[in-house]
This record gives sequence, structure tokens and C-alpha cells, in this order.
Amino acid sequence: MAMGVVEQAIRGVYEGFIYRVEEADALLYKVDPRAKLIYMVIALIAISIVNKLLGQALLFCYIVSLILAGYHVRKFIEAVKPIALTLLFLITLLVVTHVALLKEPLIYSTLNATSTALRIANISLLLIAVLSTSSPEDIAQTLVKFGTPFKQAYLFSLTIRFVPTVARDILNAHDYFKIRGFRVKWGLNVLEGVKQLSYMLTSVTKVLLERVVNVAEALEARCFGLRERTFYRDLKMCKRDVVFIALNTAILTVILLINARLVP
Amino acid sequence: MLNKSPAVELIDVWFKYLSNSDYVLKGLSIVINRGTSIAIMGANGSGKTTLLKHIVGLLKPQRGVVKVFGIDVQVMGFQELTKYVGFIPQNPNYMFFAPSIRDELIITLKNFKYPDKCIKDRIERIAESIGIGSLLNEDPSTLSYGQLRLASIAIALSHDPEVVVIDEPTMGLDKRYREALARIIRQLVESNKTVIASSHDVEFVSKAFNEVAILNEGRITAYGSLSEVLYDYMELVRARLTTPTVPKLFSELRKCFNALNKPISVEEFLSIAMERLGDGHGCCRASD
Repeated sequence: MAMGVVEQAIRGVYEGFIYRVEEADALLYKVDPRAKLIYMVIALIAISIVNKLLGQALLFCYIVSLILAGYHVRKFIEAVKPIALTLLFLITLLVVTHVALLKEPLIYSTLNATSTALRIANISLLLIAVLSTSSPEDIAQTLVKFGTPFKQAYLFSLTIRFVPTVARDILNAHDYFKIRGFRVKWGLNVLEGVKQLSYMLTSVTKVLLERVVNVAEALEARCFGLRERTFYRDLKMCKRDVVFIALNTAILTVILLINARLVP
Repeated sequence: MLNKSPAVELIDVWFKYLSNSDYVLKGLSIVINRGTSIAIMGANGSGKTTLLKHIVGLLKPQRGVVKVFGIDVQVMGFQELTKYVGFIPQNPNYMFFAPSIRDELIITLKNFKYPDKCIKDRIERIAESIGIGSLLNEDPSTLSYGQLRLASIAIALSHDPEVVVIDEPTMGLDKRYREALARIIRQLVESNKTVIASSHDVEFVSKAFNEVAILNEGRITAYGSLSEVLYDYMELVRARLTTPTVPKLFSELRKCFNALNKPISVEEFLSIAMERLGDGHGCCRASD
């Protein structure tokens, strides 16, 4: 069960990030990456400050509506399905933990668990919405414009670029191990589960390290880092981007105020 | 007497990846009999790997049914299916984690609940039949791509599955390993196993397989013996496949040879040519 949920979550990340290659005709693809990055930082602060279930639920509704308005809707729904399953699993796990270990009442535990799960969902959706709608090249340029040294900025964007690749590697290894009769079951024999999982992780780590070496060689072959480079397309902020930041900051402030005035 | 009942059936299978707007498989249907070896040929992106992944249960059809030995794969369940179907992926690197090939085989056999006392014998037998006896104690990270490919075949065959599915068998293999692989496939068919592979390599297909299917635009557009399918140039062109040299040459020279058999490999062609020359028919006259 746990492994199935993890697999679904990885599949969700893969499907969520793979859309980056598609330039959809939607708001989030058009907004300047700097505006999206500023918005993301403000939203992350809001998510971490909000401490009540209703506040998190409002944030959730707001992020989902923003995504539905400015993202590839049908594909977003498909990508969210596995994440929804993971959230359900997480809520159940948290409720059981609270009830069994902390001896809390069931209703209180359920509310707490839902609030934590919503917080995780908000962060995941926000990251997917912002990072998967900007090309790695634009993310690198954004960081450079914010003062990050070129090499670090480029390596960060490379990391984003390889998220779907790593997710696909993990899924491939998982598939091929399943065919060889590996079954990661967590039931009573936890040690056996850990052992089986470690086999798969060893194989994935090996493949990923090989990939790192390949990428490093490809970068060196292109004299990466020998001199500063410019970008093919220069990012320019326009009125729309300023309005995007202002409007979203206003909405987030309202949610924070509602959260602060709520009964504990 | 070999059993020729269906081993694998795909009936009106439709499948689309989430990241694609179009269906990869569009109502694909094919019946593959037991004890046959079939090469699925098609252009890049035609859905060969997707088709193979349906047979091994890694993908579920959005419409249609996949049956293995008459049982719907969804009903059979993945765990049961792995007992009957072995899969050799395109990239063997994902498969290895243990310090030696022997350990890889031991762990796989234990997964399939092989009795401990039989494991040693089974490993020796499979290593001998695949020709990797000398590699058993080697660390997989020190092996070449060809050796890893053979080792992955040994792993897939270790639990003696009835159906063997190979994704792009000749990718990255030199002549020696290709011949070894062709021999293994022929041996499997002789022992009434079913081998299904995706391939572009006509020369290899002619040596290792006895049936071919052409996959084009999500459907099987031609299916039959090598001589039936590889002589169907129009279908090959439609599927954006290279027209094999020997059938093309033989068709041009057919009236000279007047032979009933249609050669696929260079060896078969030469054999027919030599036979005709030996009969005193000689070569074509200019007027022919």
C-alpha cells in the first residue's frame, strides 16, 4: 500500500513536471518568471504562517483556482489525481498517529491531520504550478537577474530540468524490479521491505550517478563556466506582471487576516 | 506435437499517455500463438514499447483486453503474470544492484520462490544456455553493454517464463552478441516458448524470428511469416520502414531464379542463387 502511494506520488511529479515542455496558451505560462518567483516566495511564507484548517483550506482553494485559471486544466487534473491519493494516505497516517500515539480525540486528530496534509498539498501545487510553467533557461536567467552567480543559477535550473528524468528513472527501475518478482510490502516484515527497497534504490542511484557524470562531461565539452554567457531571450517585466504580483499579494494578505481573526 | 494455442491476445487495445494528446495504440488487435517468435516492427514512436509493456502488465489498456494464456491480465494480476512473462528492457542498467551476476540470479529466483537446493543448478544451466558462465562472478558495473544485455536475458529467463518479451534486442550489440541472441531466441522457440520482440533490424529478424508484425499508427497493419510481410514493400513504406535488401533484390531477379521460396537473409539468397547456377540455368541474359 505504502509503496503504491509513493509510486503514485512519483508518477504525479513526473506527469506534473513533464508538461514544462509544452508552451500552453495560459496565464501562468505568460507571466514573467521573476513575477512568479516573487509570488511563490510570498505564497510560501503565507502557507507557513497560516496555522488553522480553514486558513489552509482557503489557501488551497485560492492556489487551485489560480492553477485552473492559468494552467493546462485537463492535464493538471490528471497530474493531481496521484497527489490526491497521496494526500488521503497522509491524512489517514496522521490521524492514526495522533490517535494512537498522542491519544488525541478523533475529531481533533482528523482536523490536525487534514490541516497538515493541506499544507503539504499547497506547497506541492505551488511548486508544480510555478516551476513547471517556466523553462529551465528562464529560471536560470531569473536567478541571475536576482544576483545569483551564473554557475549556481544554471545548476539550479538543471536540477529542475532533471526532475522528470529522475522521476522516470525511478519509475523504470520500479517497473523492472516488479517484473523480476520484487514486492515491497511493509506488513509485519519491515526489514524485508527495507531490504527490497534498498535493492531498487541502489540501482536507481547507480543510474543517476552515471547521468550526473554524463551531464558533467557534456557541460565540460561545451566549455561551461569558462566565461559569462548571455541568454537567448532577455526577460522583460511588463504591467501584467506587476498586476499579477500585486493582486496575488492582496489575496494572500486577506487570507492571512481571515486566518488571524479565526477562533483557535 | 507443439501446442499452437494462443499465448498472448490483444483485442481492440487503445492506449494514450497522459503527456500525449493522441492515442499511441488505436484499437490494436493481434493473436500470438504459443511456440512462435514474432518481431514487432515499426518506425520510431509507433508504439512498439507501449505494446510490449501491455503484454508484461506494466501498462493497462484504456479500452480493450490483453490476455495471456486465455486469461485477462487484469484478472490474473501482476504477481501471477510475472510467473508466465519475462521482460528484457531496452536499458539493462536499471536491473543491476547486486555485487555479482550470480547474486542477481539468486535474488530473482528467490523472489519466484525457487527451492534453495535447486537454485545453484538452475543458475548453472541458465548461464550455460545463455553463454555467460564466465561472467557469473563478475561485478555488473565492470561489464560491457553487450555482456549486461546477456546477463539481463539470463535474469529474465531464470524463472523459466513461458512468454519472453524483448524490447529492441539488438540495440548496442555487436555481431558476436547478435548471433548469440539469435541462437537463444531459436532455442526458446524450440522448447515451445513464445518470444515477442520489437526490432528495426531486418537482418537480425530474419535470423531469429519466424513471424513479423508491422505496427503503424497504433494498429497492426501486416502480420505473417517473414516472406509474406517483408516482401510487402508498400506496407513497409507506409510504416516508414527500410525495405530489406534481399527481398528487394530477389524480387528484381525473380524471373531468373524462378524459385518458390522467398529468401530473407543473404545466406538464403546465396543458397538459392548457387542452386540455380548449379542447375545450369546460368545468370540472367541481358534480354531477360
